[in-house]
Amino acid sequence: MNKPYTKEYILELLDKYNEAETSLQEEHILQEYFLSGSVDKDLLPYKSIFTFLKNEQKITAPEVKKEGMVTVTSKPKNRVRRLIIISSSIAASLLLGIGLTIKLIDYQERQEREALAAQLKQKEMMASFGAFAEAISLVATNLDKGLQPMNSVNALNIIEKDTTNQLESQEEENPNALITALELLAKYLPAEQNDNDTTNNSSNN
Amino acid sequence: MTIDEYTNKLWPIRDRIFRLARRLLVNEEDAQDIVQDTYLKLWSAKTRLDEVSNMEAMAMTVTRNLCLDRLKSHNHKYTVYENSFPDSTSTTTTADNQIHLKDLQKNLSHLISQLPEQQRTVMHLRDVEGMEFDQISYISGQSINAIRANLSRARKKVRETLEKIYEHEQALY
Repeated sequence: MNKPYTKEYILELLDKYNEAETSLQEEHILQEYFLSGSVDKDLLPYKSIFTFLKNEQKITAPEVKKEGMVTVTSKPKNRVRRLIIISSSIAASLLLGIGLTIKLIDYQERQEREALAAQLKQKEMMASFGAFAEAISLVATNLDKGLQPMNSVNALNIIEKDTTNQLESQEEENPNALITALELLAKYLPAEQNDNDTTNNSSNN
Repeated sequence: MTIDEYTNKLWPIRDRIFRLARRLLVNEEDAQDIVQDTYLKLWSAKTRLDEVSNMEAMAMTVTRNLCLDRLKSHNHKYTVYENSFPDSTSTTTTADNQIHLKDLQKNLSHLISQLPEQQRTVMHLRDVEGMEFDQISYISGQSINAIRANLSRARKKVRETLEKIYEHEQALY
């Protein structure tokens, strides 16, 4: 509701207004008066002025500029950038940690594997040495067995030598020495041979 | 001063900053640039803003100074903002009268833009922004007596010109 101001009061205020002596409150009264409805013809220029001033008060800054201002004074952008840097450093150090752990575990496993392999190799070597020793001992045994007839041959050689010497010496002394020598030889021959001879003789018979 | 304090104190007065720049430069695009420049300048001096008691008056002072610098430079283009006038708020006028009022608004805008800078600034800060004289004194750097004198001259000049227009039109019809 408009207050019922008299024209005289308004004219009085307008005089003060033109001398720049009105208060803000009085200027507000004038504005209300001239914007509230029709006025006398002689006051129409004032109506235009107060209408113009009221319209000027309604002008606002374009909204697009608000976004522009936000980007110009953008601390949030810096905050986002800092957040990205921090999170990526954390991620990088985590990756580095995981990588090192994997490498360490891998190294330990490899060490264990190598130790196990060395142990196995040693066992294998021991086993093969055992087999070798066994083989050698087998060979030695067989060699001994093989050498036994050789001993007999050696013995025969010795006997032969002895008998030849004996025969030679006895031949000079005793003409029946050959017979003695043959008897001597028969003594040295193994019993088996004698047995075989007897069996052969019997089968031939 | 934090970003929140800065935004809370200075963002609400961006329309005032824009209107003053627009009144002084008479160019919408330049006025938008000035708004940005003003906020940039205030942000760069944010450490000193804590000592400022009247942030709004400080922002308006920065705006005025930036506008005066722009006016001195050769790049400033003078263009009248024809499409930026809202229609008359009066509902009692006829269609013919509305056109008539719209023309008057254009004329008034042009008329005010022709006033000397000091008169223009004072009239804008008082009659559009409704500021007290001490605030206007802080922003414009004028004494209160000088402000009263400039304001009186500006108001009288506008009124006299409008009266002439009305007399001329009445003579035509």
